[in-house]
Amino acid sequence: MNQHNMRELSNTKTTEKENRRRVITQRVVYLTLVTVMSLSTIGGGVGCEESNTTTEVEVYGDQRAMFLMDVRDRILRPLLQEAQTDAEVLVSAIETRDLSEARLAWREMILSWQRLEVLQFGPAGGSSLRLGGEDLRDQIYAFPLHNPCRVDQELVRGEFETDGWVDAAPINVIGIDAMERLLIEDHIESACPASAQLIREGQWSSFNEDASRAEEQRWAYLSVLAAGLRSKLLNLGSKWDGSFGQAFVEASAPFSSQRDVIDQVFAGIYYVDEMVKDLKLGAPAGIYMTCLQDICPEQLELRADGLSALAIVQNLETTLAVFRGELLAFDGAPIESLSAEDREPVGLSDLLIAEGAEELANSLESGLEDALVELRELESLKVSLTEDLGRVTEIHRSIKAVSDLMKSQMVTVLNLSVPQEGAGDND
Amino acid sequence: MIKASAEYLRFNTQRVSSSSIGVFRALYGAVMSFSLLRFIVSGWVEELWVKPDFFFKYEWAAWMPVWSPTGLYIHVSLTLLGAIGVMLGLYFKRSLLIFIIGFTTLQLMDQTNYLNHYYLVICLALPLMISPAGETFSLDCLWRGRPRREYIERWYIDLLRFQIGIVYLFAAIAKMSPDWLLYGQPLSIWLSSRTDLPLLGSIFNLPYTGLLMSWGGFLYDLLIVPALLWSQTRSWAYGVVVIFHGMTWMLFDIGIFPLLMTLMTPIFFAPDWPRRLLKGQLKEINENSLQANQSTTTRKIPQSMMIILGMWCSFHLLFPLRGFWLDENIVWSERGMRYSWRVMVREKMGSLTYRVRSRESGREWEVNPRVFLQPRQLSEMSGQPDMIIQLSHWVRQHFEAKIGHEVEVYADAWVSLNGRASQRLINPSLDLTRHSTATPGLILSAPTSSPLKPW
Repeated sequence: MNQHNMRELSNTKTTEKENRRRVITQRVVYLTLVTVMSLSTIGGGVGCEESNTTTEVEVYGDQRAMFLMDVRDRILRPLLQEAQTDAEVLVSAIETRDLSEARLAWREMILSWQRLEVLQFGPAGGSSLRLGGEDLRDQIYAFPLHNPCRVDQELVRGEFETDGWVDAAPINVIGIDAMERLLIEDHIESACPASAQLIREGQWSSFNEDASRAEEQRWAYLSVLAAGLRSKLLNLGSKWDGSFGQAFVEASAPFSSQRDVIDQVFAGIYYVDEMVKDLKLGAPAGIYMTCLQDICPEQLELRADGLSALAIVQNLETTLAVFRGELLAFDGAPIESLSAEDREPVGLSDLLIAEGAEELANSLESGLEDALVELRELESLKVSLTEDLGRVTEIHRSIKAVSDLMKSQMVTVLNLSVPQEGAGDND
Repeated sequence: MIKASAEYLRFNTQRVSSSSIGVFRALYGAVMSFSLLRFIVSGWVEELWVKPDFFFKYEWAAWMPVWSPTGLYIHVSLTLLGAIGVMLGLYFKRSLLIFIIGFTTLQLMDQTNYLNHYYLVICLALPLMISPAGETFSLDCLWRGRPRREYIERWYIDLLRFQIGIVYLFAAIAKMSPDWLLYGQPLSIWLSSRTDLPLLGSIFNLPYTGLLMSWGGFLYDLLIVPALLWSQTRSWAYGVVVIFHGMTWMLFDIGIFPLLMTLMTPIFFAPDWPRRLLKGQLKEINENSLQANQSTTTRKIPQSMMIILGMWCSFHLLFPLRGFWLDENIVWSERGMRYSWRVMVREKMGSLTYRVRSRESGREWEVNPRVFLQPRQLSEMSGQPDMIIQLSHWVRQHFEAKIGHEVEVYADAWVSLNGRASQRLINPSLDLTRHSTATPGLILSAPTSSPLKPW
């Protein structure tokens, strides 16, 4: 072999080596890319091989669905049934024109509704705020927009028996709060200021001149409201028993994902922050910005017979039920679950524990329990505002601690959205 | 080294097909037209700029007004027209100018609307503005008889590649944190809320999926640009881009970002890819041998342009790094967080209550910021110290007008970062109205505990 051929052979070998090196490099790069792709897209596949917990996967996967099922069947529907029964009793009591019976029935009704207040999602929720919202809650209870003066005006005007009045009337003259004005509060003095047309033009005093006629008109107004309330509760119940209830547990339209539905439940219990902490406790106690005096008892939710503290107890009990996945008791009587499944209930706490946040779950539950204990010991919130404001402030602080945890850590752990966050994208 | 640099510059003044930059321009305009149309159709103009009573201003752009509703719709519509002009290549430079002024000023109206991909859209405007992107595939050439440019200097394309490349580079750097690489957070949190997805849902619930996917995301950000630059791996890499952004689109509410990145990334292909695609000739020619097929006329980059480009690139390489000069956890303090491509690295929510104290009587009130804000603003600001301070000044004004004397404003701000236990973000004993920016003394130390560990 001459020198030229040897050089050629050597060159060929070098080219082959280079080619081989290039091919190997290419393969390494391809392999790296494929690995990155696999990791970044179906990275769980590796985990899948490592894990032999198929049952655990199923349980995990179903846990959120079970939670939603329990919210519907162990909390919301049983409460709605209770409320429907209470509405029936209220309608009957008003029909008999027995004031003490009617007042008792109204008291049961408002407490029953207070438990549902926290569950303002689905048809009960605002149409512009909640998925599937139909504003039914506002038609049942208008707080904080209640307006006793407006109720007096409607009473004197007497148009409530005309067809379609309930559907067209403003929300603050048709709900349980309007009934409070008619049934519980003082009937002699109007709730309107002296400058209001009703007083200024003497309509209120002339209305009360014939006491029996005024009384009859009041009962007639109450009958219309009670019948309307019963029908709205039946309507709400039928939606939860029917297609909406089904969509809620299946996360189908109007929901686009299970996360959407859980966000709605969270939006419901956000009530503890916006309503309970700020408006029901903070404002009357002079803590919240709407009260510029030392205290503002006139801002109490229910003013007539000291039900305000009890109302908050009901709100917090339902909130606690959402964390536990079931209702424990209502005025001592256990509420029967409507769940067809014979298993342990699943609540928000279980979802938190599944994410590794057991401590948070415990803090939230114990915070709510502590606030409940303190609230149950209050005989009257109105009296406590003047006699034991420190205690009310303490209860407010306990509820604020729960609400702070809910709005910060719980939102991050469960990747929830702040209610009505709506518009825009994120990155 | 000198030889290599000279070679690099020579290579970069080489003229290449203009078709890819033309398509880039059209797609950029199309994505932004779609985005702006979505603003109008989805009622976001109303939600983002009409409904709020209070707007969070950028300190350096506090002058930016928010128009009346009619003014806003005119503003958005003009911006949309600009974007359509960019897409069609009609009066390209004027359209781009209208679009970018309109879009940037929209973003300046309220800081809560800041998104990294909107910043990217703004950053891409300068490279496009100085480029001849409107001189191909455009109505300017077809209708207005402007001369068509078949070839352009290569650096125009490289500048766009650079602009996109730094997003990935800094996104990878931001992910080099214990939360992301050791705990798989916040990705694990996000994935576990999507367990109802068919097929993937059950995978998301597996203990280490979040961690594995965090590593996947990190490696993707780190390697995708080199893989796209190298012709041998480019097609594969683009496949990964499509799948990756498809996944992010499916899993997260990040709007046009996946679409934008998927459609902008073909700029990494050989510059003549659209023409080859039209001819059905998919195989790439080695870019180094393009000279043989295309114009060999080289044109040096003018000195002034070199300076501008140098400054532009240096800014984009250095500015995102400013956070590293601060001895603090940026994700917690948020100082240096914006414009630094720290994309998707935190799940942070706060509970904020202001305490207003009368200087005259010492009487205190609690103020829930939600009464002044829209829910989206509240959600954004509750974990961001500079915004908390900004609103405190508004709260002070509101209260002083209401009660008729001076007040101090304090904040109870509890924040949870990546699932950690909530912790105070701001020193509760400092009167915020005495501050105009978030300083280290005002922001309390970042949590030292581990994030939520999902396994």
